[in-house]
Amino acid sequence: MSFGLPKSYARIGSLLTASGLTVQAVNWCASKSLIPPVQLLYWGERLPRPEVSEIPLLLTTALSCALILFVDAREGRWVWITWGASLAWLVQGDIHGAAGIGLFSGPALLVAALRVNGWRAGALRISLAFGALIVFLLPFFIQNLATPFEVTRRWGAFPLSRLHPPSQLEAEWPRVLQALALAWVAFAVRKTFERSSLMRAPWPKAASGALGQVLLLTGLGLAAWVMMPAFVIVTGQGLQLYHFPDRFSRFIAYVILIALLLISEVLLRAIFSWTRSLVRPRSRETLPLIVGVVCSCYVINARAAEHTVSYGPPREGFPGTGAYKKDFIELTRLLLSKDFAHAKVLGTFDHATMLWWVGFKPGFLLAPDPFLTSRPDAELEERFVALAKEVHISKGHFESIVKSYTSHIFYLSGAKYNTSPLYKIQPDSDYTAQQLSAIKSDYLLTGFSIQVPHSVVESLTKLYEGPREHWDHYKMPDVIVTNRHDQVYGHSPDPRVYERRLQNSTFDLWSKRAPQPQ
Amino acid sequence: MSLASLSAPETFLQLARDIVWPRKRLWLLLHFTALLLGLDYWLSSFWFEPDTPFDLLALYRPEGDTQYVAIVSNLARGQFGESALYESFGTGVEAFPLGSMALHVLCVAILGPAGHMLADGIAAVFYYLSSLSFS
Repeated sequence: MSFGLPKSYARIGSLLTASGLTVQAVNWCASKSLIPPVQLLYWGERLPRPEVSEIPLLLTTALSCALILFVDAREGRWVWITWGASLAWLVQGDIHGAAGIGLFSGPALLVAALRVNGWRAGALRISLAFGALIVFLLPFFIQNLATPFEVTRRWGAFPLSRLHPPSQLEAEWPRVLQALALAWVAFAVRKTFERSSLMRAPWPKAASGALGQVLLLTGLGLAAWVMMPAFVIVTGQGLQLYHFPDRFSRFIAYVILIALLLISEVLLRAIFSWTRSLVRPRSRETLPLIVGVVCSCYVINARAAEHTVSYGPPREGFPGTGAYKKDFIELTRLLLSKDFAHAKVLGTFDHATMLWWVGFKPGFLLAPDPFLTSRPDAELEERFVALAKEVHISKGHFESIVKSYTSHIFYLSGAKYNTSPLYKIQPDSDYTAQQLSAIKSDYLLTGFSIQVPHSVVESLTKLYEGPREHWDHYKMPDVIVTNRHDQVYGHSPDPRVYERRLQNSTFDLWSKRAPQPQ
Repeated sequence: MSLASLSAPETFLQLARDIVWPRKRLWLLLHFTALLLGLDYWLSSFWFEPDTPFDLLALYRPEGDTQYVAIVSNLARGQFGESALYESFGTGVEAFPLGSMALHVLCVAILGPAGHMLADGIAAVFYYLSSLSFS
């Protein structure tokens, strides 16, 4: 309601946006050539972004607008403090979005402070806002101080020149222009109709003027446009830069949404004004309510069917469905039984089993997903080699799997060996001509384009051939799980050490034999 | 609706209150609809796959990247340090920022794996409310 839309209207707009129907409706209009193609992106169910992080993103923006547009928000103190807390929440949930919102709401806060009566009062409120921001960011500071660089490098952090930040300013400019033009059209339409004799009903006096609305939308669009270079200039780092185009799309989508709502509000107000005698005031509120609920129920029903779609075998980051899921349930129920109560450490190349074991058994891993641990790279490599040895992978097979995307992303190094035209971890001489060609032609902001240097393959192979003492100090698995879709299927642990306890159409489960009495 | 009410702008506090707890109670129906939007994965799973336990339902949440589910479970058990490795269990500090996982961590700490369902519902209602305050 920061933009002064009528409440019933804003409520329906918000619900339809949450349900995804706004996107579907606009896409349908674009497919019928009723409007130019528009790329809209709002909320989703992915945890934690955007399902949760989108809440502080919108809240911080709304509070920034409210501080400028509402006297009571500006004069009180709690809105300033809530702004600081909300931005701190956003930084710790979506740092890419926070870069854009920071660019937008920093100047907005200064404008709001200047509109407070008395410079002392303004300075006090700014201090409260930034004080709250710092206090609520303390956990983030502590985590950063305690986290080694190797860990953030596995998440995809790499150094970049502050003087030459990457940008997509030219590529994104048409979409910025499109959104801002729409916002200014909304402004013109409203000003035209406000003064028109066609409007028989008086225009409500909103706290936000039409000019204030359009200036805020312009600020949001421009912040979206420059947030990626601004982030690199401030931090001197790249961190999964492909998120920036995604956030850009969201910001622009919100500008378009508000502009469309403002335009359609004017048109609906005009229609209601002409048909005042036909449509009772009560119906004007009840009708949108019914429309909102009915449309959302349709979405709930449609998504219910979508959730049950069977994808088959596991994909990257997604557990398998169908027969895999049935077998997975059998496996996990067995692992929860008292027969496996003693089992502490699991060795597996099945990603879903690994995550289930850590999250719900709960137990430990011999070779964890790099995202689950803060241990050094060298330890992850030793653990990976230890697991490969434990399931008797041949040297040739080992050399092939240490070059694979899956091994690095889910077991060895995360995004450490991501390459792009912007950065690669090793000099050119450490890559093949084919790899260098692929890197050169790759997407500028790619985050998981893994090219493993020669030297890394060689050192891992050397570790594999080396003495056991490198990894012998790790507790070896009590249970080992393989599945027929993983990259080591067909290999199995030493039957003198492990006995097979389960074999279904997907999984093989081995448990360590009890030590024989001497 | 009188002309006087049309010409008097509401304060932000009044608007904020009306967003969270509408003066016309009928509008609470939209809060409930938003809740259903957040729960649709769970409700459809109960209907179509009644035998799938909560822990696996949590792991199969829509849109993948299931590592977060494991991290949420560990944080909900109070494990803010290393939790995946036997030798270094409890050492160090969880590196990934906690902000956007806090809601799920809290709900899972209270309800176990079923807390994911509660958190998804709350997140959907909060998204609706924050989107409303934005627009």
